[in-house]
Amino acid sequence: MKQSIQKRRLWLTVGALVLLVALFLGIWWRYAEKSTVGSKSIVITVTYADKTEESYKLKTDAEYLKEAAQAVLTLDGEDTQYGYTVYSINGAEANFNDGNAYWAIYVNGEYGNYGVDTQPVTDGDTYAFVYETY
Amino acid sequence: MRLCMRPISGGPLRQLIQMAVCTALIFGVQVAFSALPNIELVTLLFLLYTHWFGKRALLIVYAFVGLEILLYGAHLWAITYLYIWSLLWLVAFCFSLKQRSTIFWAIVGGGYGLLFGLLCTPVYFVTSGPQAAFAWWVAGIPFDIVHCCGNVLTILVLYQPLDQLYQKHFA
Repeated sequence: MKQSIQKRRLWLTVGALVLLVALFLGIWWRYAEKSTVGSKSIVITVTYADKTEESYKLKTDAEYLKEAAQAVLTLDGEDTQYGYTVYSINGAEANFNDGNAYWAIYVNGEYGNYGVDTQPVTDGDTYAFVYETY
Repeated sequence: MRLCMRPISGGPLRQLIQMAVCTALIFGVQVAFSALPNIELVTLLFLLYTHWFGKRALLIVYAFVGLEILLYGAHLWAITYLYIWSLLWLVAFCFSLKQRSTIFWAIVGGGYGLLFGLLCTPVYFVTSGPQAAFAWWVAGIPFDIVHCCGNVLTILVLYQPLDQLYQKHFA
């Protein structure tokens, strides 16, 4: 009897975990940033190690930042387990594998939560690649 | 198979050596698995260490955190590490007082992996505000789900064999 109650409790806990996963998926589906389809006007800026800045205004149909950025910038990097990692922009390198610098992505001035190939592109937004050290 | 927390035998020096080896092992395993996104053995090992060493496992937790900061540098994530692994230790310690099955520990590890991002958000809430913290958490939910599944699988597969290995040869 006691064992049966313990088993039931265990399966209830498994069910609760599955429900929690479903709830989290629902939240992600509802609130995660999504790209918009069609033409968008965006601004891409690059801030190099010496603080010089380049700015590009462009119209793009790209859904994600990597494709949009490649229209105006020369990106060099590689696909990693976390997505595409940028190592150099227009020949300027910031490679955390070979130093303590990296290309940070900002969206409308806020630190980006996505990689360059998963950052959705939205009309009117400003995307910044900034050379940062740690 | 039911498992419960047992006191380790041997003198203080033996225990200290065991804990030092366990710290080196967990750190090495973390570095070895760092190429895989959110697939790790740290949760499994901390659950086992709490099972084996009880309160003393907290020393391994902070030794591990110290080594991580030395290797990767002190950033925002380092602040989360100051409480997030000790929280796992606390949960494991409380539940270890009673006998628990491997499936139970798999659920604990899975839940911990799923909540990992959410548990990190207080730091981002303070530094960047509530909206940024929420956006950061939402963006990482797919990684948290991978973390959850990875923890469930690794604990189901490795918890019992590693525990038996320890009890047979080192306890």
